[in-house]
Amino acid sequence: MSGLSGLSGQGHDRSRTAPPTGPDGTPEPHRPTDGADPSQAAGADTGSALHPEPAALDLEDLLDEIRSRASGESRSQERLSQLLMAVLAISSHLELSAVLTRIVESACTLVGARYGALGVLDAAHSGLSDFLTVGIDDDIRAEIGELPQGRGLLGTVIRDAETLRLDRIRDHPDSVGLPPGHPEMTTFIGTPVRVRDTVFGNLYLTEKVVGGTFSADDEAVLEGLAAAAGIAIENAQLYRRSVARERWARAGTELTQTLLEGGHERSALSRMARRARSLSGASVGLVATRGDDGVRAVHAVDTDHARPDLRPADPTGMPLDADDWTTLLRGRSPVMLLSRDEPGDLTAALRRQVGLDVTGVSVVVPMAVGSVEVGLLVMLWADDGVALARDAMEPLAGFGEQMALAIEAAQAGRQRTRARLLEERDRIARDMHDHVIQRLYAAGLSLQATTRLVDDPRGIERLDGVVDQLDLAVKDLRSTIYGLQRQLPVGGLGPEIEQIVGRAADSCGFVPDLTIEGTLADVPTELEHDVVAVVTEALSNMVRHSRATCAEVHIATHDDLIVTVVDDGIGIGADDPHSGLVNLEERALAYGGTFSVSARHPRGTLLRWRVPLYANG
Amino acid sequence: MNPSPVARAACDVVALLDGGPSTYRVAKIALAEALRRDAPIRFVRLQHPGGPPDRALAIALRAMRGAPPVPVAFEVVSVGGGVGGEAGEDAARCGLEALLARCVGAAAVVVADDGVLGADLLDRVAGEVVTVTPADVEAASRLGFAV
Repeated sequence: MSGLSGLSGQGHDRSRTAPPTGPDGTPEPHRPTDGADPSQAAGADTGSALHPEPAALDLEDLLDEIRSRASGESRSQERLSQLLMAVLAISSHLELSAVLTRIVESACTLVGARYGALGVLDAAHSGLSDFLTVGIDDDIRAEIGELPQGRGLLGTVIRDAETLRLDRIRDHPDSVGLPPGHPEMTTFIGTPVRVRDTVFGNLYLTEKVVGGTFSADDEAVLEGLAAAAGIAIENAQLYRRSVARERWARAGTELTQTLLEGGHERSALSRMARRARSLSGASVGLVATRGDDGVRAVHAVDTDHARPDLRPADPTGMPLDADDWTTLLRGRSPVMLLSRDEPGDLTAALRRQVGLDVTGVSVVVPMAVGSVEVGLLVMLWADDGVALARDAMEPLAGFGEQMALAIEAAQAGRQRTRARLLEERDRIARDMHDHVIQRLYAAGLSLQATTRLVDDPRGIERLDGVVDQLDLAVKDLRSTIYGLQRQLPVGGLGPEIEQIVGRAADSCGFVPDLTIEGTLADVPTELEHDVVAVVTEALSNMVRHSRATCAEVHIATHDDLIVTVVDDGIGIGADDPHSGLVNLEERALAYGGTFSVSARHPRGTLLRWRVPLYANG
Repeated sequence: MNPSPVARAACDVVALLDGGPSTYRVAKIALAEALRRDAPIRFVRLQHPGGPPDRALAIALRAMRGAPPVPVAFEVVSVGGGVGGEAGEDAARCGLEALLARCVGAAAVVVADDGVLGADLLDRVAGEVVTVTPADVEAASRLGFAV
């Protein structure tokens, strides 16, 4: 059937001009109007006025006529019943592909056609975007090759949007011939299938199995089926849209909930890319947001697992910060972009990075809340994805708006938590300064006064020791209060670490390398202070003891938060004091983590502080 | 099977955007043409080296706001400028040739009447040329747009 475009046929008749024919293709017998004398009608047909026949013969003709009409009525009843069964069959499905297949099968059965096809029109209504067949097996289809594009005879039905019935399609002037391997076809009937007032596609049937040619009855039945098919298709389309909307809404709700509950933002972005890609049928989905460094870059990627060739290079971290991307974001409307690798192509580099062919289609959805630009949601398809991209535009736009709001709300929530934490720190610091330190100080003074009343040198020594311990405790408390009152710098943890490294550079004469693997935004607020303490202590030790000439600070935020500080100094000895390091170990143990400090070969020190990240996210 | 709708160029509507006063109208009318033909649009942005920042992309996006989804491609052609003398003239000529090449085979080209390429040249390479004048609101309103 895939070569129907090649069928031709002379002696064709269009339905609106064709003379009535019987089910076998022969002209139908004349039927008298209601109330007319059947014997006169029969007599007129047989020319009885010129050649009078005996009365017995007239009666026989009349009985034949009555039998014929009764038989016709019976056939009509049977066909009506078949039509109703077919309508029921196609209406019982809601999946569009199943509905379309059932329509073609029912049409073949109803009119007794060997081959049937449904050509779905493309968006321009000038060609075919899909072509379903019945009666053509896989081997023949493979031999025929390309599906028809809607030219030739198929194009005639597309153009005229009316039923076309042919006895000999071979001779039709619009026919362009059959492709090699195509089954021979002679008779033809084609009719449009309309969804409301728009032609969705056309039903094409060929090769009447019994009776030679398609009849006017076949035409009427097929048109009836096409009308019912239009309704079934519309129902299936509505069902599909409804299911899709429900899936998008569920995805949006789940992700919003995750973000607002304070879930891990990077993990939520990954899920966002995955759900949007999966629901829109894209090959690759990306989410780009601003990082700690203020640069808008790809922070989550998801690729179609059925395409293992994709993503040869991980685009995570790839900046989408060029002026054109910013303009797209500020445009506030989703855009469907075609990529043809011409100069000025916005998505070509991104497509190359993920391993997609440069020629293709993309949808870019700006995520913004009021004047706050949150980021970009980008979906990429291959070059046959225009229809999918078009369908995905609207749900993606809604999804992007919802996600922007959720991300912004989650960030605002984190800011509030941070503010509350700082207020609480202030309160604790005040309490310790105003009450605890004063009492310890008073206790120390009291003990010092008590030494004057003690004669035993061992007692005096012991009291002095306690006073020294109290003094140390007061100093430690003051140090802790200083730490609590320290305000986290604007910009978050990243700038603060850079400041610490910068201060160390001022003291040691070289700039330690600072590398951050992952995103510092993933570090929970309650861990930020510990990270600062670890880096500060490690660099402080290096400056004071190591005599190093280079050092490196490495912070990784993948499954665990790992802070590593290495230098090329004289290394750490077993007898060296570890007072500051004990504090770091306690900080790690408090979160179920580990801490180690060891000598490197041939020289230097390796400090490693690790805590589980997700357990604290 | 139909040829790829992305690779197919014969049905494209090409809009030449130079960032001038008519740019918004050119983009709007190109959009209307594309919707009417169910065709993709190629917005070809003319870049003048040393010229003011390119606003054509932002203007085109504004023109598309609220419209039904249409596949669009943004392209850039450098049309010389910034270099004086013979070298500058050569660069300008090459730029115009590149610009004309982008319009070859297009179903329609929408261009400002004061643009760098004349309608007579474009007529030879494209199916149809729609010229937009700064005061031309008729063409847009005919296509159902308030410009």
